[in-house]
Amino acid sequence: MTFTMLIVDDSRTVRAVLKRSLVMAGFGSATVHEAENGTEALKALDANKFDVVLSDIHMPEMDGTQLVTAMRIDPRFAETPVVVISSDTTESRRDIMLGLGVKSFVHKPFRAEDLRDILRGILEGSRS
Amino acid sequence: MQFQKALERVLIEVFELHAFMFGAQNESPDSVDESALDMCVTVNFTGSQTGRIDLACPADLAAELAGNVLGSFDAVPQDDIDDSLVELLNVVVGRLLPAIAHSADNAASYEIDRPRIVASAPVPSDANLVACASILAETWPVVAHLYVEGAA
Repeated sequence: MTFTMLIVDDSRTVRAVLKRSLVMAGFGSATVHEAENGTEALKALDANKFDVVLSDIHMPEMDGTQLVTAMRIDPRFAETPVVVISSDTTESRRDIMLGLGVKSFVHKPFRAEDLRDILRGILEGSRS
Repeated sequence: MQFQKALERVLIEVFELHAFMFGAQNESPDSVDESALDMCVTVNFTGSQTGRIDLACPADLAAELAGNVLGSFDAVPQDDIDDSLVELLNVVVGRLLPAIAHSADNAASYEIDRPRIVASAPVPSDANLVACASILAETWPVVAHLYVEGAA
């Protein structure tokens, strides 16, 4: 089964690391799109259907909090699972994002197996 | 001491987990040739505490770091080297702030600027300097300074 995923992060390095981690986590066959910020992500969401969105929080133009908020009020994307992957490890930030309905909050640096377990839980649930 | 230990620990952890490079406390910090620390990155943070972290390292280390992070054995473009170093400090500051938050302050919150490459590390003469960590990543020296307003 192949999945379509969207990586949202302003760092090209992080996007490359995430793509490599997805391969290591067993999602090498996934179709992966990239966006540098929330604005680009919304355009990608307009044009494609994604099984999951992996998003950073701190980004220029439109950050991860604004992106998730915009997704939740748009019925086309409201149910699309979002996993936040951020270096911000404060509990207050985690609580805000989980309160917006994100499926999981992953702290950088992360292990590929952690990502695998989270994505399996989300994707197997969504396709069952 | 809380700041010093936290900064050293986080630096070593992040080099190991994020960059796949063995990190250790530098037992001879005075022997570091500061002229060799030719790449510098800095980040500001505000919120429950306000301050800055400066990190300096040799360009060779930054190139090795970028290669490790990107999984590339080829020469990495300078833009990617810069971005890798920026992301390293981004992870450092994200892990450090909860560690230095006032004890039991689960509500601690911060706004963290995007780290940026600077021409040279600012001279650590700031009255808010609370920690100077000197570690080795593999064999390369890394020096980081932490400034927190009102905590020195």
